[in-house]
Amino acid sequence: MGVLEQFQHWLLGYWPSWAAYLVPAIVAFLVLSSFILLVVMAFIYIERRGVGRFQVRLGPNRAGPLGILQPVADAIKVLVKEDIIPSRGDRRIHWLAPIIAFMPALAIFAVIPFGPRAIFTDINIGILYIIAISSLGVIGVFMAGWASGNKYSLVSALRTVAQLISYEIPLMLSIAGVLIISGSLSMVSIVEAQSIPFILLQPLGFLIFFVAATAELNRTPFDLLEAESEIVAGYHTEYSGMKFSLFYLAEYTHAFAISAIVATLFLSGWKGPFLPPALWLMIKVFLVFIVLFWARSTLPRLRVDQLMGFAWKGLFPLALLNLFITAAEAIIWPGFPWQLLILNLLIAALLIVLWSGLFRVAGERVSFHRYGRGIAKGMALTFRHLFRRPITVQYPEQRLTPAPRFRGNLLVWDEERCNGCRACARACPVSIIDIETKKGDKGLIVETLEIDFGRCLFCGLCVEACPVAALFMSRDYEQASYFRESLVVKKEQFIAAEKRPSAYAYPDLEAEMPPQTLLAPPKEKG
Amino acid sequence: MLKTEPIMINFGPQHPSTHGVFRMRVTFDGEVIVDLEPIFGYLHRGIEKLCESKTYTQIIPYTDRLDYLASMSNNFAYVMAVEKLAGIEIPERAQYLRVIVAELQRIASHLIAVGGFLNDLGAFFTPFMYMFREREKILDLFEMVCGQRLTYNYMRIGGVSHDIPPEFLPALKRFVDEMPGYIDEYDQLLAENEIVLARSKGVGVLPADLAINASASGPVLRGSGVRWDIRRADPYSIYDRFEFEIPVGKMGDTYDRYWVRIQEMRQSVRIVRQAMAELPQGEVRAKVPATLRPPQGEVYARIESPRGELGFYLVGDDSPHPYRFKVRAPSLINLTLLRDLCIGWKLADAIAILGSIDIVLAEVDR
Repeated sequence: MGVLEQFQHWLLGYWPSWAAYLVPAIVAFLVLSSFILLVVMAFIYIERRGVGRFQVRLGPNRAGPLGILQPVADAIKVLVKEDIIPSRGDRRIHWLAPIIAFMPALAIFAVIPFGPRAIFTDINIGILYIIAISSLGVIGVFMAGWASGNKYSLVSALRTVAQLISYEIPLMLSIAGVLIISGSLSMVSIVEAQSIPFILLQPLGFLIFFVAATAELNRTPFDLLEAESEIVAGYHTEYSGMKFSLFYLAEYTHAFAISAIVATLFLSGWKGPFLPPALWLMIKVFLVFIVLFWARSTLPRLRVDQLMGFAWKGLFPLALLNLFITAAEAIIWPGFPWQLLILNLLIAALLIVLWSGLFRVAGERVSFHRYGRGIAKGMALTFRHLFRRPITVQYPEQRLTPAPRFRGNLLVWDEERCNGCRACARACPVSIIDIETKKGDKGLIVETLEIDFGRCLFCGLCVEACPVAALFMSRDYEQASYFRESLVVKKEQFIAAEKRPSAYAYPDLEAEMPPQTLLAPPKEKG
Repeated sequence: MLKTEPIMINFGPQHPSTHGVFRMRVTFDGEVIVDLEPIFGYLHRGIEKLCESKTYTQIIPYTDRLDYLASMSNNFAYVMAVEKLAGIEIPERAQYLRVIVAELQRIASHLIAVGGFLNDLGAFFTPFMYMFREREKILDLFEMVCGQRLTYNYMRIGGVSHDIPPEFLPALKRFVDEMPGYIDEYDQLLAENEIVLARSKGVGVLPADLAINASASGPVLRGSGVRWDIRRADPYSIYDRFEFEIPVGKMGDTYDRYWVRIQEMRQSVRIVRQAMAELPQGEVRAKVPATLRPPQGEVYARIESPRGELGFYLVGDDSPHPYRFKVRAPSLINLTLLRDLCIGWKLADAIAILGSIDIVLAEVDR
């Protein structure tokens, strides 16, 4: 009996029955949604930092210590944005779609056991309920794509449906193996049946489930419906503000749900020594999620037809075979002794080899020594990068020294030396140097000097043209202004400016300048 | 029998994968492309006309702004054209420096091309970031030499603007020692990856005869198996002194174009290494009059830029300005093949094919 039922039974003794059913439901919803929100924030944080490290970047580290408040900052940013409904879209469906996409992901948690008794409701068809509910989210996505009145979104909506149909069947068939071993549809019984984690007894089933679940989550390499580089975020192209954040939330909630299902079905759920059961489950959930975004930061995307071919010709027959083999084993060795583990691992390896041999990648038959190995190699490489020093720097605090010859944003002008010959003005390709002179005692005196840095190319030709070494490039590299006029620098400003001349065209200056910061060779950390 | 209707989707001018302000009007049957119309001109700045009112030296910064991912190559081709027109001899050391920076630029540009291509295939910026890391090192080297990281304005008529600083050669040595290792890493990440193979092999096949007829050049042409590299076919500067191979593809598909670029990086490292070893001492700039007035006549100079045959056509008329200034932009000419390559493929392939052609819109539109 789950926590929810116990609560209801207790309440039924005091309250009328409608209240005794309604109140626990509301309480459960609030507890669950705030817990999920917390985990989703942790997911977003871990993913953003983790992907950063895979890509040898620092990752977001500004909001709070180590950037831990980044998800909060993200959420606030999204929430205060203007909510836009496309004029040619369908207002009502556009409004409804994010809710429909989000609710099923939330509803899955009703049957996820966080411990032997920590489950909201242990219905005896738990897994069936999950299968039924989890595919509902796609309807929300489809509605969003349709209601946006955008062609990219429409393509995305159609892809969603195609993808769902292709993946749902192998997903269910791969679960069937687990059900045969455990002999129950209830999530709690499935966990209790795992004296050995089912990933070992059902290695093939696990692989198929994991791949199919990645596809259901629309994560790379199956993120066809978002496909930034093709259809520009697809179904949520036209979403902003709160509604967009709901889609975002739905995506991560779903990721959490699927990770929890993988942990429950194949990684023996809450079971584990020493630590409390709920913690064990969360550890396993985070491990699964890390693998998900590890794949995301390594792999490119499949094409629509390749994805469906893979599902129908690869996963579907394998899942069927897996089901038959498990059923046969159930007849021959009904107790599922641990020795089966070796046999099943062998069978899984053999089947993948045989089956992949039938496949053609771009017209070439793939043999085992390539199939899967290329992806594994890539994953290994990105994993190694996790331990390399990030190459980005913390910019305003940590500054790079430019090269001595750096051609920076303001010119350095030496009034003493300038003889007003106008060689710089003549050399300038964009004619932005304006000099007017008058006759003085010793020669020409510069009366006005104006340079429009809003149009400067920083080509350095003026500095090279100067015959008396009165003009230098500068080594500053920050320039910003709200007004275009303030980029026109006048004589007085040149005199008052802090002078940091560059050695450009004056190599003699180079000796005393600090050396340029170069990108250090990547060291393995430690 | 169900009747289907084609759907027309407009990609661009603002789209993450059109590499600039480029627009494709694509007609789809489902996800299959039945027609594609490339539309460009959004970045037209009239540089060719503008340059006719500038002096020959002032034009150099403008050539930076054509193909901004390969400014050095643009500088190189332009100053070669002027030197040919005015009959100027260039010092040996300048020749070597030009070759070194041009080959480094080829590596930098191919890194962006390959990284961008992988992004177009849907990789989540990881290969792109790795390649940016190596490009950053090249930009560091360029900054050391000429003070800028993107628009270099390094070459001058008669040589280069500055000699290299003393710390340049050790840094370059370190780079060329590291680089082959990094290219191996890219291969490890991508060359055998089943998804990359499935997405790029056999996709967007460009037959050799079509490539030649369309006047394609660079990796697009060599991917189709045509061994045509101007560094060999019509050696300019001092390229006849170096040993290097011209990698060519077999099929002419997107994978081969990607593969050719990776191999060319290896060859460029090889050339830089040889040039470093032979680098002579001496002047880096010939004596050229401050205001150059080339004689009457016309000249066409071409180099193998990272994108293909980059040519500058100049007409001199004894004045400080060119009478006519024309750029043969390889991106533009390669881009004209887009329709032929894309028809019959899927939406996702069109993006991949465009990425494999490797265009720079500033060069396409000028």
